[in-house]
Amino acid sequence: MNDIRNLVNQLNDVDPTKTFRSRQQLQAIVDQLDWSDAELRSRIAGSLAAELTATVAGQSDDPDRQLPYRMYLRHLAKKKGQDGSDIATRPKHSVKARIVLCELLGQIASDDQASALKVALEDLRVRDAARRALERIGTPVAVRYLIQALSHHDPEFRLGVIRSLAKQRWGNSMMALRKQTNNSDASIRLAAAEALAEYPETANDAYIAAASSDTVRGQARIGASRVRLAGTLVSFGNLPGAADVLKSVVSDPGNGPWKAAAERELTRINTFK
Amino acid sequence: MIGVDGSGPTKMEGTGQFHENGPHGVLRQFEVKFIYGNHEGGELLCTSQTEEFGVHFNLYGDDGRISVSRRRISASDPDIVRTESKNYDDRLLESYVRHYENWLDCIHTRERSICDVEIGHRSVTVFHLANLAVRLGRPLSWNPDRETFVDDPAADRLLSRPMRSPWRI
Repeated sequence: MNDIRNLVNQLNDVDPTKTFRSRQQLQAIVDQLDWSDAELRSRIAGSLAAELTATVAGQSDDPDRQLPYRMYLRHLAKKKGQDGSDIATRPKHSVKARIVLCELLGQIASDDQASALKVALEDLRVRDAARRALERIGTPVAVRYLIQALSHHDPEFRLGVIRSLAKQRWGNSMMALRKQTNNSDASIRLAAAEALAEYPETANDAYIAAASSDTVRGQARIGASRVRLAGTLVSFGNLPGAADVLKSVVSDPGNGPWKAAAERELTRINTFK
Repeated sequence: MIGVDGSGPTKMEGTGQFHENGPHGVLRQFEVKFIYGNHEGGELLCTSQTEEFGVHFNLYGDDGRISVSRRRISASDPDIVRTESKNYDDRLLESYVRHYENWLDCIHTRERSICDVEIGHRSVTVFHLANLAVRLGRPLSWNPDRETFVDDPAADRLLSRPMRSPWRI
């Protein structure tokens, strides 16, 4: 595992050729890993996770400090020293290196390493990469961390979390998305509506329709999401459910291109029947 | 490939070399073999540069090899590529003559274009599969109907690349 530690250290190098080579070598290790050897996979993923969360003391020489000072101070983790005093710490590796580690973990990590990615969700500069890694892992544990991230204060990050949850098929992620259709932020409501359209569940139509929007564009996104929900239901073989959703879209007041799309899709479904 | 526009290969394996010093992670040389299980066991061998001419496909069949690139077509036996156009699939001739015009026509008529979105998606999928086969360094089995790998969770994780927030499709 020393090889992995050395390669990760090289990711911090100022020479782009060195960082590229170490990135390629790490990628090759992860790509060629035999998943049937669970112990080796766990060891490699564990090493990567340890490097992701590794910290060193001090803050003055942080090469990644490009944030406003107050945000930077909040970003720094605090821990007690041996004498009980607070010691400011900073991540051992650069932002670029930590993003690479998240990408590699997304490819091979299991639930055991997902907790390291959960810690990285609090890392201002790396959290989106950690979110993408958890999306790829997609186990119930990873999804639970993503659901917890829905309470994050940054709306742009929350949008990413909602779109990650759209790729999952677990019941608890659907429930969390349904709650987001009542959010006070219209962009969050609309993203949640679009995410719910990916779940083959007829009852989601009511939640999508409830994610109201005052803007024409918002209404179009809701209309399109309802038609897409019908498409998802068709792809899962639920033709009656899809027909119900489309009939509901067609009978709604108002006019828009999504109604024409719903009518066309309804005709197609009736042909299949 | 003709006859499998809405499907894809079922098995693939390949080798290749990446650029050693960057700046990108694109294959420099490669050789990937695809097997189309639902198309009478047809094989497609895709290779990078040879001395003959640049990046191209090699299609191997019972009667020999056809090499196709953007601008050239050749064959191990020249008679293979001297087929009369009347024997071709009509869409091939039409696409050769008027791709852009056909696309504009279809916007008006709402018909499917010669190369519609499904064909585009299935064509690009083949190259993504080639890339993954080389990267993972082992034979892969693909289910073209479900568009997932067969009993291969490691490869399934690479099926899509999560997008940076707030981007979406």
